[in-house]
Amino acid sequence: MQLLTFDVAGESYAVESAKVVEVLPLVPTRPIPHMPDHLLGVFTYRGKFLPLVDLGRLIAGEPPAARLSTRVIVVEVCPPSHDPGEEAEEAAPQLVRFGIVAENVVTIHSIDEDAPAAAAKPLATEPYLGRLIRLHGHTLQMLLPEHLLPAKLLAGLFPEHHEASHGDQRIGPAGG
Amino acid sequence: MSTTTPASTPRLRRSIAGRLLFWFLVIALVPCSLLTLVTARIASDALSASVRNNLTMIADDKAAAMERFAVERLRDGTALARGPTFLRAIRELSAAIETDPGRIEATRSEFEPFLDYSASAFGYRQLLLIDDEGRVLFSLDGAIPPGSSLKTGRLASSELAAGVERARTLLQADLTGFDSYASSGEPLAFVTSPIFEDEQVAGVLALGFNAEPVWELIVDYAGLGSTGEILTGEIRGDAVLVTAPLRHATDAAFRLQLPIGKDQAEAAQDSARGNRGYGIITDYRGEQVAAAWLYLPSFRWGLIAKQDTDEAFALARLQRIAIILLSLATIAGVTLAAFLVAGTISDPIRTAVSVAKQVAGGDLRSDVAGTTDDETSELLDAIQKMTHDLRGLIGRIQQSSVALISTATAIQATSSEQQQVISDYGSSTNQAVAAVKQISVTSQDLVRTMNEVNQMASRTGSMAAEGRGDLDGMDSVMRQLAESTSSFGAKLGVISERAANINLAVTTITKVADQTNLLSINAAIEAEKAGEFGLGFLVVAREIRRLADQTAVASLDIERMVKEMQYSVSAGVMEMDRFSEQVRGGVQAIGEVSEKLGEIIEGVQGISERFGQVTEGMEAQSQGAEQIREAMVRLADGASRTASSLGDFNRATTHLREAVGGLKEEVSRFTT
Repeated sequence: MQLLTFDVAGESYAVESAKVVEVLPLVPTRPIPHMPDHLLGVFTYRGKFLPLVDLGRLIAGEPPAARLSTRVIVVEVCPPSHDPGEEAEEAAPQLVRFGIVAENVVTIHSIDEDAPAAAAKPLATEPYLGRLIRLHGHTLQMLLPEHLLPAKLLAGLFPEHHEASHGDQRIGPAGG
Repeated sequence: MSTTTPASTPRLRRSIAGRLLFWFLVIALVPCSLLTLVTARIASDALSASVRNNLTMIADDKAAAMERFAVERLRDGTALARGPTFLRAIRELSAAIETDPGRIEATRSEFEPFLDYSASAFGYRQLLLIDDEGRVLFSLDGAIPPGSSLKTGRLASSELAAGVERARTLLQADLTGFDSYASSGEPLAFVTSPIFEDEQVAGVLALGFNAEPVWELIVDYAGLGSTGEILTGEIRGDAVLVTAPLRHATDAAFRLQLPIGKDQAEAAQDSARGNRGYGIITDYRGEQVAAAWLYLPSFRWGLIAKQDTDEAFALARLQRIAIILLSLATIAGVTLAAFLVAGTISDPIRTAVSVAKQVAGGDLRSDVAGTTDDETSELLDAIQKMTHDLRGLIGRIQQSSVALISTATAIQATSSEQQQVISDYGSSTNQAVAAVKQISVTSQDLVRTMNEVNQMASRTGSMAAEGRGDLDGMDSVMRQLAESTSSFGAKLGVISERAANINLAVTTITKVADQTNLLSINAAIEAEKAGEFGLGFLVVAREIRRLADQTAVASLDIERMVKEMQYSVSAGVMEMDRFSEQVRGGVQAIGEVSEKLGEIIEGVQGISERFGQVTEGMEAQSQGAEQIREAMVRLADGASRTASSLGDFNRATTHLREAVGGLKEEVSRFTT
């Protein structure tokens, strides 16, 4: 398993590279009014508008440093509003993409599946924070991007996507 | 006015009347009693002495009479024994008894008339002739058989045998005691006289007489009153035998025996043993008697002249009774007189006391007046006048004390205010003193400081002069410095430009490294998505990324260094510009300063003179402040003394007011 590591407010985090579509340099964003502070706005990726989430504002309440290593990680995940039992087989049609702004996005690490880990789930008050992993003397915390955006927001941002999933899968409450 | 309690009234009465009574009695009775006692004692002693003298004299009289009687008897015996007839009768009778008893009667008859005559002529009842062998040769009426021996038989222990023996051995007449020799019982005493023949005792003549003539002497009670008597006795064995009749026991002669050792026989025993004496004793009847006793040597008897004490001391008793009656009468009279006199004196005093008590209790309304014209009446009049005067006085005092209290209160209030004012004044003065003292100190400091400042000003003047010279040199140096700074700033601008160029190059390198890194990451992501087919590509992507990282790190270092240099240079440029500006300003300022310094030098030189004047003034002020301070201290001291004396005055006023209050209270007790 490969992990893409990055820093938020001086602490190290990681995301599974399987959920990463691409790493981009900082791109211009179009702010959307009346959105939460950490939702910077939308950007164009391969002809589509994707929302951009700032982890620095979300986690520590401060903007990221303006460096070249501060990059946008484009992730593709399955939102948790759908039935988890069908997630493995029928993930593809429900996938959503969005960008995450993080610092020091420069390295990918390969790790074993059963690396020493602490189940940090009970510690986390937020659902997008996962377990703790020990890697090369540093402690990383897994970031679960599928829990990063609330379902209501997703519904607002990806209306066509939701209609498609309703029509195809008949699963989940209408409108999230 | 003394304070009296209610209980003092009876005590007063008791005191005056009782004391009068007491002293009356003392004055009357003590000398009277003493006189009576002394007189009674003297009379009693005289009476006792007279009784004693009387009794002793009677006893001596009796004893002398009886001794005279005995001497006459002895003289009789001695005279008769010289008669030759007695010697012849003894010889013949003795020869007849020894040789021819038949002739005894004849011989006896021959001598009997003579012998009988001799005895009766001298008044003797018996006549005995005894030879030197102790044989009785002759007796009147043959009372004793001729030839009977006195040394043996019944007569051996008789008084007669003892008397004969004494006459023979002592060669002189002797008197025997009374003894009974015949059954007739009449006791006889004998005068035994030795009969001499050629200076040898041939025999003994014994003349017997009875007790009658002796008793006649004894029973004469002249001078002994109605109870007095004479008691004679001799020791016979363990008792005293009474040898004469007694007044109260006429048949006691030779019958009554008083056992030795008993009280009744004490005087008799004492006298029979040869002692004289006098005393109040108990006689054989058990009566108390006064007795005088002595010893009769011729008879070997004791003699007691005695009289009953009742009779002997009757006069003394009468005297005592008379004295007691007289004393009682005196006491009664004196007591009655004392009561009357004490009453007349103590009654007015009692009235005066009750009035005085009313006055003491505050009641001045009582009214008394004397009724008689003696001293007590004057006392009551005086009390009356005193009460009246007191009434007026108390009224005036009451009014005066009210006025006095209000005045005292006013005075106290005023003095309290004054005290407060003085106290304030004192504290103000103290503050002023402190302030003046501070001023004095400050002005002294100021003088010192002025002196220092003066010196400093002098120094400043000279230093300013020096500084002005230095400033002229400094001006030209500054101008050179301004020029150098301008050229240095230009050179720094060149450096900054070069650094910007370097920075541009580094940025380019950094961007390339960044792009490379990005590329390698995306390549790795893609390679993972390709699964097994992407493994080799993954390795390549990692190597590329490492290369990019190293490049990025290096370029980042360069970038940082260049940026720092750039910052420094631009800061230096700015500093240089500012410095250059300052230097220019400085040059201008130096010029101005130089001018000002010139003015200062002039000013300072002028100031220095004035400082001297100011300093003198300051010193004068300091001295003046010191004088003020001393004056203020004296003033404060005076204020403090005034305050304390006012406090005293205030206390005195308080005391006055209290005293007046007390006076008022005292006065208010009186009812006018």
